[in-house]
Amino acid sequence: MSLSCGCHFIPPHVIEEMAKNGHDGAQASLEISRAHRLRRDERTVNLVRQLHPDGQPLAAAAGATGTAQRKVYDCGHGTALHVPTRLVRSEGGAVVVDPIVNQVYDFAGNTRDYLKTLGRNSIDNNGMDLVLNVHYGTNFMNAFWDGDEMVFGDGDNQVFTSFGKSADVVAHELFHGVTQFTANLVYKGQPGALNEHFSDVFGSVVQQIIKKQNAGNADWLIGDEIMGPTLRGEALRSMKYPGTAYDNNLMGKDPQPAHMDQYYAGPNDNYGVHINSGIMNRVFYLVAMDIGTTAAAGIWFETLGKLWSTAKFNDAVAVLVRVARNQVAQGKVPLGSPQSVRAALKSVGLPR
Amino acid sequence: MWIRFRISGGFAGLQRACTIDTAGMNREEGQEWVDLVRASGLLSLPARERIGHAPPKAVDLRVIAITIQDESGSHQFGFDDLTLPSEAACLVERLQQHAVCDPLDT
Ligand SMILES: [Zn+2]
Repeated sequence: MSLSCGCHFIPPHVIEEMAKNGHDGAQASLEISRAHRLRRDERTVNLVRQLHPDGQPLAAAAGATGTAQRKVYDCGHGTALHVPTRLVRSEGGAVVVDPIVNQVYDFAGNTRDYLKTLGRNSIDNNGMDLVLNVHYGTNFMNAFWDGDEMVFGDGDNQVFTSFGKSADVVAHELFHGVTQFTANLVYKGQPGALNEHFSDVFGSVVQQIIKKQNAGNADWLIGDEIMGPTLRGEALRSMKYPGTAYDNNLMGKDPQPAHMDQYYAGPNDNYGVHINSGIMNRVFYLVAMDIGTTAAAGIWFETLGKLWSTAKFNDAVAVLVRVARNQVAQGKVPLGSPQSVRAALKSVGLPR
Repeated sequence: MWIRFRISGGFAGLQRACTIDTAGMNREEGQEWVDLVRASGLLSLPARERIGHAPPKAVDLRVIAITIQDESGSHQFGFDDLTLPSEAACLVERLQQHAVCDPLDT
């Protein structure tokens, strides 16, 4: 099914330029045109929006709004996704025997609840269902977002255990969906590293909410809960000290830089999307330590909605500072937040 | 038969690689690798199917690069978690068991 193009009074490239220059109305338009573009190949297209001449959305009406239902499928070590006969827990369903099913169900619910506090209705802001596939493949050592749903492997039980048993992994993957429907950051180089960074940030934020932690007593580690029995104590990334998460014979050494001087420019990992994200992760950690995780997350979430697909670190710097200033004016974050953001960015060598 | 295998990226962002050379193996062990490669169907794939990338909206996928050299020449393959042919899953699983961390070449 295809989606009608709606009424775009301003050519998309002009809207994108306006958004880069800080026109919030243009950013709203940009978000809507993204929604149109992204939804074109969706299985259940139900979003039709129109633009008001000032760029603000008139309505998100026509077509049913979803109800953000969780649906957990058991892949049974195969690779087929959302097989109808393998739906093992759906919204409101009873707890099942398999702990991984219950964990991804709960963590997805925590993330959906958190999004609600930010004023967002699920991944697409239109109540999109949260589809989670567990026990994918054999000894599958990964988790990913396929563009429509989340997928979790069980690991090899040596390096990694099940990827679904960690809240920061589930929230990380779910937020890749949110990014797809907002900034839609290209998954390569600096835009890709920003894409990874936002997923790590909100994975960490959701984890802190679940564990009733704050910036001061959180571990700021990503993936520590999925390490295999021989690697307990290691993690995949440290937002506090990027580059220190692991150093062992099985995994090698954490390659994340904590400063632009160590920026990885090579071709691996889509030009370092999981590597250079460490630089921006450190910025978020520092700001959260200064003004609190909740306030920092509010600045970062609004920034995600104002960035565009080719945005680089310097673009994120400009938008983060502008959003922090606006949020101070609105009384949403403490006085001094823009200065805190600038200082954190400066300490990692940004802007450059 | 000579095989170079590299898997990188994914949620974990690890870089792992291995090289298999049947020349240094006993006959039985070497034959096992030859059989695994045959069962993977990789060498029968037409050129256009030897490289596969999932749509760009799929993220956190691991990238898999395989080079196989045998008497017919050198063959290169590039897939990710979503495009790896299912017949090749056994071969890749075995290669992963041999793979060790491979630092980034900067
Ligand atoms: Zn990711």
